[in-house]
Amino acid sequence: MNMRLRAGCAAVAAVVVAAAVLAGCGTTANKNQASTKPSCTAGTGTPQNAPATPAKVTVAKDATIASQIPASMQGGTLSIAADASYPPNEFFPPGKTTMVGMDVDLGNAIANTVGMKAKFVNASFDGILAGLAAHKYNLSMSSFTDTKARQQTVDFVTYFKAGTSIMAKKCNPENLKTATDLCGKKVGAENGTTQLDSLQTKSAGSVAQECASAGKAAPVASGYPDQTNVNTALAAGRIDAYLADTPVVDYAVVANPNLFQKVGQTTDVAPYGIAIPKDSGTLKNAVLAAVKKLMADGTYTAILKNWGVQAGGITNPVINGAQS
Amino acid sequence: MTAKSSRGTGDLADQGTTGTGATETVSDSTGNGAPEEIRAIPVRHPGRWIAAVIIGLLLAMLVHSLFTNPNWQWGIVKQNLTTSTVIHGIWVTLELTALSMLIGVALGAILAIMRLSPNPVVSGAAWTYVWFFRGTPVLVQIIFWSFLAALYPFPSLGIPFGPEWVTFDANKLIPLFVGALLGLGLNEAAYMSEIVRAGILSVDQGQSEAAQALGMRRLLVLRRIVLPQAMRVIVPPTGNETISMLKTTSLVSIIAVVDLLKAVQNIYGSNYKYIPLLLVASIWYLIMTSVLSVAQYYIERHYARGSARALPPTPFQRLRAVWSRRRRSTGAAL
Repeated sequence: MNMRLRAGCAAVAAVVVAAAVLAGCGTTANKNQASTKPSCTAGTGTPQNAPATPAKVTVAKDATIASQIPASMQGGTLSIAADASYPPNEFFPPGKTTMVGMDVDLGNAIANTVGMKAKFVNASFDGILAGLAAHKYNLSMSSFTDTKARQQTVDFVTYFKAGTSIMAKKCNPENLKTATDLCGKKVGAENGTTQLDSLQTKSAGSVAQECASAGKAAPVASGYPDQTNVNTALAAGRIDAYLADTPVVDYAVVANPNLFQKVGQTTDVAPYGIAIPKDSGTLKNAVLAAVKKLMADGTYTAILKNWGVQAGGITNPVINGAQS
Repeated sequence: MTAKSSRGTGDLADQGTTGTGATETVSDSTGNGAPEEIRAIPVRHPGRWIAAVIIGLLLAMLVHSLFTNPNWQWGIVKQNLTTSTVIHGIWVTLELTALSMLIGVALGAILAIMRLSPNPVVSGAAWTYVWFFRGTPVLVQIIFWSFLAALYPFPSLGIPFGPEWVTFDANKLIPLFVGALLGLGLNEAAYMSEIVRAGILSVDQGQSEAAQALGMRRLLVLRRIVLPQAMRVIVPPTGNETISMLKTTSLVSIIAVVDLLKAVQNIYGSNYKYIPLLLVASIWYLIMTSVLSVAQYYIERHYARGSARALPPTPFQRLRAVWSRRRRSTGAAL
């Protein structure tokens, strides 16, 4: 009897302790932020309908440009690698299995111009350059910034320009305004991007360099395998901010105004390039000619407008146009 | 009828063996002296020779390509093999392996004992735990734990459904490393509990029955009688799980914990030298699993002492035996 009573007491105590630990797990009130910034409330804001359908354009084959495609590829499938976590440039809309975006529309238009059929392959961003070197894909359109370093591995045909923006949590609790405000903070970026490199490596104009010059601590950089994970990390508060291409930051704010807020100015505006393996012969010339034609006949502008990124349009595409 | 005839043949056979057979063999051996030495021809193994030639050729081709294919970029491998960030990544990998195995073994043992409990609520809870944590991918669990703050930003201590006493910031309560540890450790506990349970069930029922007959209580029987005997079955797969865990930790690179894999990813993220840097990671993983394999061999040998009469010699002992035999034979020749 005594024994049973003791066991019963232990059980009750265990239940009480367990319940006490778990209590309040349902609370999600953001007490801290609401008190410091009464003008802004996190968790408010209505998501807007961000563009998610392909541009309505029809592109005909141009026989002259098509003849520049290497003989072994003519009339076949053009396989294009893209990391579909980067809306509005390349992504899967909720519930859809077909990749869409500015790069996808442009890729399809280029393929049609050269008389081929585009096939977009979803790939992790930091593996695309290696995949191109191994000829897993014919080319890649995945918001690649054309840089001197990447030109060692691939050739680029420039087709767009974009800068880098800082994304903070809604209401900007860390009060971030410029790149040097990121010093000593936890900052995320996608693996293999110029932004992650800028956070980690001290080179001319990089965030790490600016922090060092200002005598401040380097940012604590966190690299994630795709942009979706970077967004999740910021939403969960694992990082204080992230760096990404401006169109991507803008799109994320439109889609999640209750979670995110763009802060500061756009920096490091640089050309996007279509990445093409070095030993692909005249493929890059054909692609360049196709891009020029799409710009001349208005298809290019129509596609950019469809995704709300016409601010990044360029008029003079070149092969390997890196500035740094 | 049948019984009679069988008895008859039995008698006949008995007479035959005792009568002539025995005496004949005796006279034979004494008459001809020592038997002729057997000229045994060893069994030929042409298959072995063919296999040796083919495998040797393939091996030579592999080694040749390792040295001549410039794409391996051994210079860059050498340059990055002992970089400080890589060494730090190795420490993180080892820490994660050791701590998550610790969580796995401790919690796994508790779960196994709970599962075998006669209390249906306790055993049901253990079953549900294993069902859930074994039924979802460890990668998903790691992401879940590290981004827990998106679900519960401010967990608190207090009376259930009543007032809260203390409120925590989930991200401070569970730092990134701990998130990774929870993901790996809690998942491992589900697997370890099945291993421990198998070990407990492998001990003969009679052992615990005898102990109960002596008046021992359930937990005492478990602690004194069952668990020590179960160790023999539990230890080898645990070593296996540890080696597997060492490599599973590379999954934490997805939540930006800088382990060995993430450390090399950070390097090739900026210099685009994928192959040599993945080689750096592979070389270190191989070194670490090799060391663990050796440790596992000796631990297994230790726990086999209870059941095996004579333990097989270790590779080291075998080497020493060959050495001393050779010394003895050369000594005789001199």
